[in-house]
Amino acid sequence: MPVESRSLRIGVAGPVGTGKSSLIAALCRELGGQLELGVVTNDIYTDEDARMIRGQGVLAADRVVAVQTGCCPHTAIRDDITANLLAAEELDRSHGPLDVVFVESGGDNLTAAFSPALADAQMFVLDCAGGDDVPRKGGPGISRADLLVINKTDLAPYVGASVETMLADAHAQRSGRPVIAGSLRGGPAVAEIGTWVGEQLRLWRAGELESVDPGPPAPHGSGDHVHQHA
Amino acid sequence: MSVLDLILADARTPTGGYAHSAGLEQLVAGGAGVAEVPRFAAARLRTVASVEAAFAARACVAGDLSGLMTLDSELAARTPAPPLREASRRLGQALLRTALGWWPDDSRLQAYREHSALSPRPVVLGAVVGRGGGGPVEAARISLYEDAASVCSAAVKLLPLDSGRASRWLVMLADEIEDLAVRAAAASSQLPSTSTPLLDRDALIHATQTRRLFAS
Repeated sequence: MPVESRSLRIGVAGPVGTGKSSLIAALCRELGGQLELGVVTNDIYTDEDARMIRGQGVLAADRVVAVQTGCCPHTAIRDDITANLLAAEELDRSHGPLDVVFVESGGDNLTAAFSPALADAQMFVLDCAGGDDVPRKGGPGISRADLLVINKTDLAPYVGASVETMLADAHAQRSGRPVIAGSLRGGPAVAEIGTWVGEQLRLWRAGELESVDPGPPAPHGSGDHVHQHA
Repeated sequence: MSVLDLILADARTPTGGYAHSAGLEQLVAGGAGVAEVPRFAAARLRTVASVEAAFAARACVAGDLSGLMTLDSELAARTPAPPLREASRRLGQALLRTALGWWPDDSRLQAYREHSALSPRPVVLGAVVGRGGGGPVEAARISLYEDAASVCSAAVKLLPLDSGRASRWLVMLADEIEDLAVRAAAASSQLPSTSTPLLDRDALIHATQTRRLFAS
């Protein structure tokens, strides 16, 4: 399909409960005035994420579609992305084409990453409450997603987490790729992430956005060598 | 059996099948246990799966676009529950999308994708098997096998069950699948229309459930 005839697809991955749905709802609120948006959620056990985003009233209900993943949230964004592609294409066909479709992965473990055939750009969402050692543990999303978001920094003092440690570890993993830390409940983080989304859209429309594969969880070989998989 | 048949029957081929339980999830929600699964798979084979297999076989030799579109309507008339038409449409579109990646210049499949609003999975499967040089029996066999395999693989996720045992059920059903495939491919001009009211009812209930793993 030619690039112009479809929306930019931005993947949002990360463990359960880190704030993926809330981030998408916040971005819809932030960007909905300027951009035509759609959302595809991948729920593991319920359509709760889709209902939550619809319930926020930030998008028309028919712009949020839920894809069932039959216990295989990882498969749906990586090995067999057909259901998600069809859902995004149907949003474009019935509403658009839209500017951006956010594809939310079902909350999965640290190894989940979007196929570059599904997500033109992807962000990975962590939170302080999940433990400040998570950025150090790494994984394809943490190390190589186009954007790493560290959410719930306002909770750090209550759970004994160090935002500084998380940021330092994240930067050490990411070879200069961007990291945004903050709280979706207030502060500049949502606006910063919205700016990042706008920049991806600008690059994509200019034909300058290259979809980068975060790659397999344990790179064979050593060091920071990046593989080019066909 | 051709390599293409194997590719089409392989769950690793990206066509979205992993998200469907062929009705098993709702059956389990209604109280069914492990013992019911092979009986359910066998009952589906003799009813709804045989109807779909006959459509796959017919689509394999349907000729032009209008032949496929007629099969679309005929199968929709035999699928009264809207969620089942929708599930079949999604699976059909997924397969069609993948197959057009294999043969991007196939004008008949392209035209079908453009014009078919229903694109039920059996019609797409038959058209794809035919495009690859396979015949009606192959199309029917894959359709039947996939129905039973969907039930058995979903059972492993839904019930306390050894996947080796689930694969044994498929082996036990193999002869019956073979017989039914031949019969489906030989269906006379009148396409079968065995109805399954309980499956239709269950599909309507399943679609309203907010806690479910499978799309159908």
